[in-house]
Amino acid sequence: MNARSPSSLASERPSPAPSAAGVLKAPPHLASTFIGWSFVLPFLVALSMFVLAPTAAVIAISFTDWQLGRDTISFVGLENYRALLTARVPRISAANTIIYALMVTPLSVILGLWLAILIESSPMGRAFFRSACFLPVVSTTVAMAIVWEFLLHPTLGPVNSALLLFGLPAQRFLSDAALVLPTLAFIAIWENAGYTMVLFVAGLKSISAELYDAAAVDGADRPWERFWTVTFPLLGPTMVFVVIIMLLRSFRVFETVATLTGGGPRRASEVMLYTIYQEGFQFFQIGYASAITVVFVAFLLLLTLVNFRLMDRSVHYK
Amino acid sequence: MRISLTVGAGLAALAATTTFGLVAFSTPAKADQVELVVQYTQSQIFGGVFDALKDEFEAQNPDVTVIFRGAHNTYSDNVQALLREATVGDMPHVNYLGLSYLPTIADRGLAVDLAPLMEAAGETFEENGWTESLQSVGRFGGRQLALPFAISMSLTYYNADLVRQVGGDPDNMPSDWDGIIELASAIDALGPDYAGMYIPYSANWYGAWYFQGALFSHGGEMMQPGATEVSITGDPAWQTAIGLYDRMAEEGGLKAVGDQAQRQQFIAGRMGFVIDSISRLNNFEQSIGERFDFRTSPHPMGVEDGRLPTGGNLAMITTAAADDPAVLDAAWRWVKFSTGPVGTTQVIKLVGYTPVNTLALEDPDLLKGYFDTRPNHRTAVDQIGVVRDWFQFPGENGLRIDTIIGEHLEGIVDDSLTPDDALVSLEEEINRLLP
Repeated sequence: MNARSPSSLASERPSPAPSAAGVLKAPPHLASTFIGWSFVLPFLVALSMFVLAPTAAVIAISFTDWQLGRDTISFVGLENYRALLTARVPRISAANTIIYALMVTPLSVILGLWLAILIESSPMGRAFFRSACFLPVVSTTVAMAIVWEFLLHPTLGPVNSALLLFGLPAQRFLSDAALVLPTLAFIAIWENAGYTMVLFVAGLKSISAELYDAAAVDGADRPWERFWTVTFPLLGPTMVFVVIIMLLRSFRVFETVATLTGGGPRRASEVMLYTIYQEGFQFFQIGYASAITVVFVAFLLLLTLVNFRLMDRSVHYK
Repeated sequence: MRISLTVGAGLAALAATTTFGLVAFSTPAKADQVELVVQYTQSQIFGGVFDALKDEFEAQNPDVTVIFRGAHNTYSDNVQALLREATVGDMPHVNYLGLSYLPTIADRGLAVDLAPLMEAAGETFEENGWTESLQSVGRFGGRQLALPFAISMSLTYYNADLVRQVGGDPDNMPSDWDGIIELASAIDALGPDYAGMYIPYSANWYGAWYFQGALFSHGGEMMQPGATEVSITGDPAWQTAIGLYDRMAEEGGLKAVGDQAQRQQFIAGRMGFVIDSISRLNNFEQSIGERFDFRTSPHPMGVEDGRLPTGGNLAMITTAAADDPAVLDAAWRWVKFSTGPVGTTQVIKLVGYTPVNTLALEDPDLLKGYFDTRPNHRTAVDQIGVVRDWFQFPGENGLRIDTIIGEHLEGIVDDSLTPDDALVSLEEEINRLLP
C-alpha cells in the first residue's frame, strides 16, 4: 500500500501553470507537494537502503562468479542461470517447496477459518480459546521444532507410543522420505492456524449483525446458509489477504527444515530457502546462490500478482 | 521545529558523552598495551577453556589484553562470519577454525604463514611438544596455516550392560567391524524399542567425515594420490566401506533416523553402540550419569594398518594481525600458549578431545597420570598413532562433494539405494564436481 504513495501523490499534482506570474510567488500546490514528499521521504530512504539496493546488489552479483571471502570477482553473464537450469538439487528443491506450499496454504486457511467461526460463535471461553490457538504463533519456531523432534522421536516419542497403543505401526516421521514433507507441513499448519484464525476473527467482527437478520428475514437462517450467503462473501477481502500471506509464508519455509531435517533424507525435505542458504553460506557460491534467489523472488512476485488478480475479481469490497 | 531541535541537541549531547566515554575507556593503561581479538566457536564446549586460558595468559603477558568475540555455534557459522569479515576488513586477529575449512582459508589467503615464526623459535619448537604429525594437520598447500587446538577422532561408545546382556564381554571388546556388527545385531533383537548401533551418516559434512573413518579403517583412500578423478566402483576398500553401511542397516540394527534422535536413544540406554567423535565424551558422560555402564573402545578396524581421520579445530592467525608487528607478536604468543602444554591440558580436562601437545603428557602438573583413572578418555590417547589427515576434495566443490556422499549414505541406510548403484552414482557425481 505504502509503495503507491509517491506515484499517487505525483498523479494528483495538477500540471504547473505556464503563466509568468507563477515565477514571482510559489504556487500553493508546490508547497503541498513538498509537504507530501517530506512525509514520504523517510520511507523512500529506508526502502531504498534496505530493500531496493540489496535487491539490486543480489541481481548484480548473480551475473558474477563471486565466492564469499574472495577478493576477486568477475562477470560471467548468464552462466549461473545456465547452471541452474541443469542442476539437480534446485529442481528437487523447487518441487518440494511447491508441494509443501500446496499442503500448508489451503489447510492453514480452512483450519483458521473454522477455528475463528467456532470461537466467535459462542461467548463462552472466547478469550481463552483465542489465546490458546494463537500460542504457537508467538512461540519461537526453532524452539518449537525441538519440542516436535522429541514428540516425533521414532522410539521414545509420545506420538509413536500413542500409535502403538492403538495397534498402529510406529513411524519415522522425520527420517522417512515419504513422510518428512507432510510432517513438516503438519507442524507449519499447527503454527499457522492460530495466525489465520486471528485475521479471520478480525474479519468476522466487521460483519454487521444486521446482515444476518436480513438474511434470516429472507429465509436463510440455517448455519450453512448463513455462512454461504453472508459470512463467506463478506470475508472476501480478508480471504485474499490471508491466502496470499499464507502462500508467501509457506514458500519461505526454512527454520523447521534447518533444525529438524537438514533437507534430508535424500533431499526429500530440501526447500528453496535451505538450498539458497546452503549454496551461499555453506558452499560460499554467492553468485550462484544469488541467481537462485533472483529466480525464486521473481516467481513469488509473479505468483502474488496472479493470485491477487484472480481473487480480486471474485471479491466484493463494499 | 522546536521539538526536533531539542531532540537534535539531545542526540548531539548523547553522542558527545558516548564518544568521550569510549575514548576514556579505550585509553590503555600502558601506552604499549596490545588488544588481541580472538574468535572461537561453541561456547557450550569451549567457553570454560577459553576463560581459563585468558586469565592465565594475561597474567603471564601483562602487555596483552585478550578480547573474545561472541562465540559462534558451529564451525560453519564461524567460517561464514570470518569470510564476511574478510570482505569488509573486520577479521579477528586469531580464529579457531574447523579443520575442514583449511582449504577455504588457504584459497582466499586469509591466514598468516606460521613457518617463519616457528623457524624464529628454533628447534625448541618440536622439543616443546608440537610433534611433526600434529603440525602437519595445520598444513595446506605447503604452508603452515594453523596449529591444532582441539583435535578429535571417532571411536566406539558402548553400553556395557547391553553387551553383557547379549553374551558379550565388555572388558574384551571386538576390534573389528564384524565383531561389533554381530553384537549390535543381538542387541537390536532385544525388542522393538532397541537399536543396535549408530554412526552419523547424514548429508551434512560430518556424515562424510565418519565415512572417511569407515574407509580409512579398511586401508582405503578417498582419492588416489596424484589422481584428477576418482574410480571407486572397482576399488575394494570403497566397496567394503560403502557395503558396510548396508550391513550396519541390514544386520547391525542401524536405523534410518536423525542424528539427535539416535543419540537420545543411546543416552536412554536402548542402543548398543555409537561410533562418534571424542568431542561427545563429556556430553555423553554427563547425560548418561549412572543410568548404565557407559564405556569407550577403539574405532573398529577392517585391516591391520587401518587409519582414522582427524577432526576438530585449529588456531590460525588472520592477515588482520599481519600489519602490526606488536599485534602479530601477541597473536603468536597466544597461539603458542593455547596450543601448547597449558592449552592442551585445559582442553583435555574441561572438554575431552585428544592431546595436541605431547609435552603435557609427560608433565605431572599437567596430564601425566591423568588418564590412568579415566579409561574412557584413555581410548582416544591410545588411538593417536593411527590418526591421519582429514581428506578434502580439491576445488571449489569440495564441501559440496561431502554432502553428496552423505546423501548416498542416507539412501543406503534407508534402503532406497543399493551399495552397487550408490558407487556408480557417487563416482559420476564426484567426478562431475571435481575441477
